[in-house]
Amino acid sequence: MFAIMQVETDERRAEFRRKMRTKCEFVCKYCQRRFTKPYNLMIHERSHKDDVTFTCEACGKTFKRQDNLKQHRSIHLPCRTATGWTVRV
Amino acid sequence: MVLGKARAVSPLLTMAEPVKKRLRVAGKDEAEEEEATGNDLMEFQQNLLNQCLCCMSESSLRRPFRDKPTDTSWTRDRTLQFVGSIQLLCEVAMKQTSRGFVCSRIGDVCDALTRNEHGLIDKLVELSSHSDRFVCFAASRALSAFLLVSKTNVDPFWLQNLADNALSTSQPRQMCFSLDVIRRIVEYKECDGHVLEERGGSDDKPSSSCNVLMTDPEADCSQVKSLCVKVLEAKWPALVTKFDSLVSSYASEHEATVVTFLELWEALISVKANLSVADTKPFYAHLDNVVMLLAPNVPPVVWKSILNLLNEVLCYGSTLALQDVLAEEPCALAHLVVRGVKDSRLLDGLPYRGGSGRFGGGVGDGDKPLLKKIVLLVLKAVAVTVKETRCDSSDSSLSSDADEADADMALIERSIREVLRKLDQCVKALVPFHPETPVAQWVVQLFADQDDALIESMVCCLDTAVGLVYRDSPVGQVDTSLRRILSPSATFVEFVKAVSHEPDVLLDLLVSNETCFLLYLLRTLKFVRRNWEEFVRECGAELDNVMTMLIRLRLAIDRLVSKDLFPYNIGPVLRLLEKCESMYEGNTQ
Repeated sequence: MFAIMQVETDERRAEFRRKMRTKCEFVCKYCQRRFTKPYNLMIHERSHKDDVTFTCEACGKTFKRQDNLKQHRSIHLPCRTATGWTVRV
Repeated sequence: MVLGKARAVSPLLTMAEPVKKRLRVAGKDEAEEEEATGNDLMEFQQNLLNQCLCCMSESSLRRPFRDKPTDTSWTRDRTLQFVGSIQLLCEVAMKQTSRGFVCSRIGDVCDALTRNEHGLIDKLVELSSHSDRFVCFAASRALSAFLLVSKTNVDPFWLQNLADNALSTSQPRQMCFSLDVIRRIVEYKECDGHVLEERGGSDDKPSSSCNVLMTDPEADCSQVKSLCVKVLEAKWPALVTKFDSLVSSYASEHEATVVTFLELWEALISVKANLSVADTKPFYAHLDNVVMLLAPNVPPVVWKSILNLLNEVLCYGSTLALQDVLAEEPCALAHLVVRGVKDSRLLDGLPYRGGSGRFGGGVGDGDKPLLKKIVLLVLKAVAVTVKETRCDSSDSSLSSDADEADADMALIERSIREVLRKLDQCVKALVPFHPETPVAQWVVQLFADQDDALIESMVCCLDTAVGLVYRDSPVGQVDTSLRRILSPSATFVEFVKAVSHEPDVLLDLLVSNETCFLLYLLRTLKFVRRNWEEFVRECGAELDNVMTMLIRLRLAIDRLVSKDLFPYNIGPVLRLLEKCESMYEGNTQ
């Protein structure tokens, strides 16, 4: 079996890898590994444990911890000013 | 300074027995000083446990850090108390910072220390040669916490020094010290709280009188981590050479150093380290030699550390199974393992019962964790080899002749069948499985108590079966014995029995990210959809139980999705479940 693997020249293998690489569009934001299907990338990114990000629905800012996001959300809540209620952004 | 004080206090003591008396007074003075420092440290620790240093005087805060713990006059307890205080300070500061605040005095003391005003780094590194192993261990923990809390203040020279320390020393304990410090930095995670630790509990918060500063909770230790990796990269070939020589002339006093080095290596290439694959590339070199070290004379603890490292390189369930093009390094390692099992009797050297002889020999119950690690490694190596061959042959530009690609696959299939035969023989010689139990079933029984390895091994068996047995090939070329050995339906039925037909277990596995169950379920359902009749045949009387569980799972997922509570897009799994359900209904009707 390995004799056959070695018959395939390095050049052909490199060419093959180059061709395949151009197809890859989905890159992991943690380790930069490449995937050809978005769902595969999503499954892979879930493996980067303890580093899940939470995104603020209002401004899109991401946080590593949900409690930090909750704290951040308060800045989008209306607050009282001299002239009445206003929203901080 | 101490002697000077002694002279000033009692000038008359020079008359009789001057030397002795002077020492006694000096000793008394020193004891008082030591007691005061000890009390300061006690107060320091107690306040740290209460999350605030605001109530401590400036002098009490500064005094403990003036003296050197490397001073030979320091007792073991005093050194441990000092080193433990440093560790506690850094850990409390890190925990508070990650929550968005820090007690201003804790921040001040940390700043002073991380600017190295007291030369603390050198003091802690010097403790690596301390005769007491508890002091060494405590110092290595304190130093890693100190470097992590330093963040942007970290001087690359400190890390360089650490790596040099590991290389230059002939003392195993010193080498172990440096490697352990670096490993803790590489492995550190911001959210690493103990499972029993209640988040946001009142114990974690300083009192209302504390002067609290707000910090950026998102500022992390990635800079220290990447500095560590850069420093290690330059020293890596030399470190590996040193490690090789330690293992080849193995002595039990080197055990901790060898294991620590392997743990560091594993931490560097682990997917969970969240390091860029380009940054970690240098650490994939030299793995060939590591496989060669798996010999009967190497103790089980080192075998296990080596297998952990190799299993991490073949990160199948988390990464390799999901990629269309596999990196060269894991493929090369997989070939080596396949060859080792097939031609070099790799499995024969397994020290299962700590003894020598075929399959370990020896006495006792046997080391099941060790067996599970090698089985998982072989299954991953097989799956990677099959996947690589499939990927290469699926590209028509590479193979001018489709028959040629199929002939490649047929050859691979023969090798893989031989590897699986040897694995089956090895496992059945060590664990009392029925001689007729195929790999597809015993794999569930063997890994039943360890979900991550269980599910990864099931994915490996499934992918190997789909790649070899269920590929589109000329009729008659595929060996039917492999169909039985690796039957994905048999594995799934065995798995469903192992979880007592409980859909909640499957739901937990799907929601958590600790295993690759999402991948397994997705691929199994695709297999079932494509091979429905075979699945029905394999399930036999179990079909209703299996399908009832899958329908209950689908309902549970539906409920969560309708409330928008599922943490990610489960749509593809849901659609496959519905498809299988409709085939089952068609079948029963």
